[in-house]
Amino acid sequence: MSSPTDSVAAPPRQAPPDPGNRKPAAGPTDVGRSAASGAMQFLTRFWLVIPLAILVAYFSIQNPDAFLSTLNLRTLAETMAPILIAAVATTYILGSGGIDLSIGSVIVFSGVTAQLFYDANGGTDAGVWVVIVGFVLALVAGGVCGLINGVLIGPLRIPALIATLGTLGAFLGISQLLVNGNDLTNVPKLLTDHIGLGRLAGVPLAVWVAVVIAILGGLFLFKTRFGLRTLAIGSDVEVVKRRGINVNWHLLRLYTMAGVLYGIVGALSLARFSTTGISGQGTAALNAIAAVVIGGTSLFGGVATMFGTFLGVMIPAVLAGGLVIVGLQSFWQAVVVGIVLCVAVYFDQLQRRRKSQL
Amino acid sequence: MDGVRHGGAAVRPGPDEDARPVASGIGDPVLELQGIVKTFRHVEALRGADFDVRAGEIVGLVGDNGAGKSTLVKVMAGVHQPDAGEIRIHGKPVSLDSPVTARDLGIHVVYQDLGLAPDLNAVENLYLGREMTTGGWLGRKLGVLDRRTMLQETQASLGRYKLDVPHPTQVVNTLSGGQRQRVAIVSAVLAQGSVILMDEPTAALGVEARRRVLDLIKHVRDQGTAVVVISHDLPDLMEIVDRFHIMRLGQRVAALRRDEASLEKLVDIMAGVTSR
Repeated sequence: MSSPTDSVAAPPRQAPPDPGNRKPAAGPTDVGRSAASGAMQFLTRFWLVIPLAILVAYFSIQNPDAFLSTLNLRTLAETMAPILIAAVATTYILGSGGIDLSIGSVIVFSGVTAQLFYDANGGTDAGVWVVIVGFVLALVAGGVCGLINGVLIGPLRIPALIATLGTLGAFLGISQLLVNGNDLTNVPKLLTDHIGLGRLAGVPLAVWVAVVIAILGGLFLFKTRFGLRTLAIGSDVEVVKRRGINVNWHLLRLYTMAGVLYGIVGALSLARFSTTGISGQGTAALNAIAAVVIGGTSLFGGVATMFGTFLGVMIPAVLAGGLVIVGLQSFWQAVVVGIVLCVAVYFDQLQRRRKSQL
Repeated sequence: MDGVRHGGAAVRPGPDEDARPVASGIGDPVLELQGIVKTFRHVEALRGADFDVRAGEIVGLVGDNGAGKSTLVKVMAGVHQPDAGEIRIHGKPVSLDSPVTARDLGIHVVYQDLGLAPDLNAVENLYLGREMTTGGWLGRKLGVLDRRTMLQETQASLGRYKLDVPHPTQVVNTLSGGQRQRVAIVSAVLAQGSVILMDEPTAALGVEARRRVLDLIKHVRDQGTAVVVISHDLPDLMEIVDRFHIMRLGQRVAALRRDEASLEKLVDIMAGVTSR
């Protein structure tokens, strides 16, 4: 799942007659490529693994006991999980040439919706079914928010930046109205104990959820018609319309799907922090967008990489976890992430310019 | 409006030849427009324009800016609906109410911007909108792409029509202008177009790329497809077309066989200095 083209199955090449300009090995898809050139291609595309490896190595050498401790790694993974889920959705959305600034507000709104339901059905002592229904309600709430975004951006043709800037404020405002501006904290014990603190093979449940979503999201993006059309829309929406594809319907589904994913984050963060955390998601959208762009997905659509997104989520998380351990103020994280973001986009532009000059 | 007999134009190879009987250059028109009127607010873009193209011929549609060429093409492509007039495909009156309808009836347009998504590869572009899926019922529901078959089919069709596309799995924006133009034309052929409309296919191409695109257009014609080329480049058209349709002020003012046409004559008719 590296690029739209990488996953094309290599055919038995029967050398069609092409007078002139066929290169000996056409593209990255041929079976016969050597391991070395494969590795080179991987590195050109995912050069990010190098700084990431250096960071991990540095922090590990500086303070192996702390950085590589189970506790630290677990915290690291737990911090990453919600950002990764939001970043999976953002990978699709940026790939389609859109953007979603409302992520944080949708997360809050879904959490609030679920918790209002819990409060009405026993609060802390809510039973299993209540907990499950509330969890599903969070996904539905997220989906509804996403649907609204999709309607604004698709049929109503409001630019995604403006539409989601609007809903960023609106969804948060509605959430605050629903709870009178005070966080709800009577989160069911069942939810916090089994989902929030739950572990599978020593790994927090939320991390499993995030990893599964990332893998499925990556496969879906590069193996299906939906994924191909998403990138095609980001590449040139007019072309897609001319092929008779209903772009509005596609965007509606895309943003709704994204909303459901934010709903999952909302429910998980309710479980993890035992509070609706109204003011805690202000930077969710920016974190997700930064991670996705650092990972190599184009801000202008058409190109997306889920593995890159994974790396892009790891860098800020590793920094956050590591800087404190080596005794630097954690504020440095924001500085370094900002620099990495700019460098990543610069590299991307450079590669693209070189490519289109061929 | 006499068509032009064409040497190699009689038979189109491939399994679909029965489905789409191909006349020699002189058969009945594949696509015919009669008395087309199209008004935009107060501007009469087309004032009773006629047009016809036969299988296995290249018609060059020429005219000064504002003569109504692109409006006429958009009517043929189903983008604009005419206010009056009749459109016939293989003699049968049709209504081209949308680009999808036109495409389903076999009319394909290669626009000046080529209609290719630059970040997808040639195969993905060829199949965008009619992707093949694999994996049984679930695969169809999820829309799992059958990339292997799409690539194989592409290469098989390319071989059948003796066409070539450079690097079918290479992303389009890494191809040169001429290569992209050829991918766009081939995609219209492979999509079973019986009429292919091309808008300025050689604009902004270098000498060699232009040569290859013109060769490809002639080759497509020789396979029995009806080709309409809109261009300002009269010398280029002189090389390939079988007939010229000359438009002026929203009407077809003349139709000339290539052997009747000369640059001076074309320009004079376009400018309204002489009529035919």
